[in-house]
Amino acid sequence: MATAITLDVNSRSFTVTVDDPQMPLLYALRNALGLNGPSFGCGLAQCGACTVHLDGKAVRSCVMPLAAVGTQKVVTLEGLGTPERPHPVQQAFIDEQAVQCGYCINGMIMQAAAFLATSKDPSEADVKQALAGNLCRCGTHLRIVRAVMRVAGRG
Amino acid sequence: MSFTETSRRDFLKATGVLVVSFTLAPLMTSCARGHAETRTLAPDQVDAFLAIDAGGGVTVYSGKVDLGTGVRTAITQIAAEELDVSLDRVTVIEGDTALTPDQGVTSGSLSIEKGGMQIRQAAATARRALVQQAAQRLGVPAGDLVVENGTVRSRSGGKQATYGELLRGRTFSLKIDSQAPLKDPASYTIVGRPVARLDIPAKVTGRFTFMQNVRVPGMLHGRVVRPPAIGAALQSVDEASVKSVPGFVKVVRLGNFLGVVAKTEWGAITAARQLRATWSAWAGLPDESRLWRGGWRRRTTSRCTRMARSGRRARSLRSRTVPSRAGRQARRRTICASSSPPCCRCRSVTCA
Repeated sequence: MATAITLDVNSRSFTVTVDDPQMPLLYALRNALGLNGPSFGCGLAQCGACTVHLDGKAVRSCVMPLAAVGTQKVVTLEGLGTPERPHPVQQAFIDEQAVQCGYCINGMIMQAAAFLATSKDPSEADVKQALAGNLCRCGTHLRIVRAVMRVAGRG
Repeated sequence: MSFTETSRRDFLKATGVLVVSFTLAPLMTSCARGHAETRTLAPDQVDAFLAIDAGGGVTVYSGKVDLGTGVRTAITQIAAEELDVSLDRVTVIEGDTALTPDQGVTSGSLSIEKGGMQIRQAAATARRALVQQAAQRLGVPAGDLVVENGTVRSRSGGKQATYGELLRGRTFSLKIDSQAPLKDPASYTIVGRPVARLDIPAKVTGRFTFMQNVRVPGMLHGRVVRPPAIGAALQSVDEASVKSVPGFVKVVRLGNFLGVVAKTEWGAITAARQLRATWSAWAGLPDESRLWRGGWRRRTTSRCTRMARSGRRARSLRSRTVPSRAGRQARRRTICASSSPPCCRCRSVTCA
């Protein structure tokens, strides 16, 4: 039976109608709202490409049931910053040219932004640990770490 | 040199359309088709690779595509350098078979070495033609002219004409001349210097359209159902096991290939997980020593590899839709097209 679910995404309210309230948030964001920031990588919370913020915390949207989102505020890469006014982490990824194909970069940035919001003065080891669950197949890791360290004020 | 007084309006119209086609993928096919009628794709023609509008904006048409390796940026640099225009005047259209010349597949690190050099030679031919045209128009010997950011001027100053003024929206109608002189690399100001990748701002802000983000009206979603082991054969499928999945459309079975189609992505994922199928038992791993000598790889990838090598992949994949192909041949085609053998698994990353 179709169910209507209201979501707060990037400070706007949306109502999506789904057959299955257990459908993960990722598919609503991508297919109902047409957002391209969160990517489908593995669908199993293994790679991090789908990461979004729920009330500021980085979560894997490919396994987050819509029914569990409730009133939590969803922020995607699009809502973090814009090309005109990028978030400091987005700007740092531009400055360090820390993107090859870019498919994983959504997760890298969303995970890093959530991490930096609560971790002051992290070491390089802390950054690597924070991003250990985000996979990149191109091999952009060193630049990604440099970009995050730049925002942390140590790059 | 000859310019063809044809399609300024068409060109401007088409250029406007191109901007739309970048941002609204669903419009691309029909719009691109209309544009293709107005321009050549012949790889020996300057017009296949380059167009310069009345305002001096350069559009480069590249058959090689940027898969994350920076090819778009590099080709922009190559064209800007050889034409003597600034980077921001150059727009690159990539990999639209209705708009861009066939430069072969994007692989083998050949995008710059081969594809970029074709574009460089087209630009060199265009540049020489523009200087000759300026010489006629300004009454100054070509040898006394220099080009600076799309403006041809006499060394002594005074007389000048911009590319836009010289072309007035017309096409070049000129064969690429392999003898057209290339700029001396010692005089390069753009190539060989670090340039920020053009695609990165859109990629870090969620504005970039990956192929996974292309959506067309009425689009269905599919998922492949994988066998439990590489050598397992599909024995039976219970289609009734997924009939109740909301949005379920059909099960696709072609030899040992199994997949599902649904109206929604989640419907396809649910059906793929839920579909009951029995596979023959198979244990172990393929013999490593046979991987490259006609064992497992030949079994699944030979056709795909052949097609990639011969640049015939797109055509061959189209033939996949021919009905009633059964047995071994159909299975090999399907594996190649749909179930990601090693040579097709590159997704967004490959050696371009």
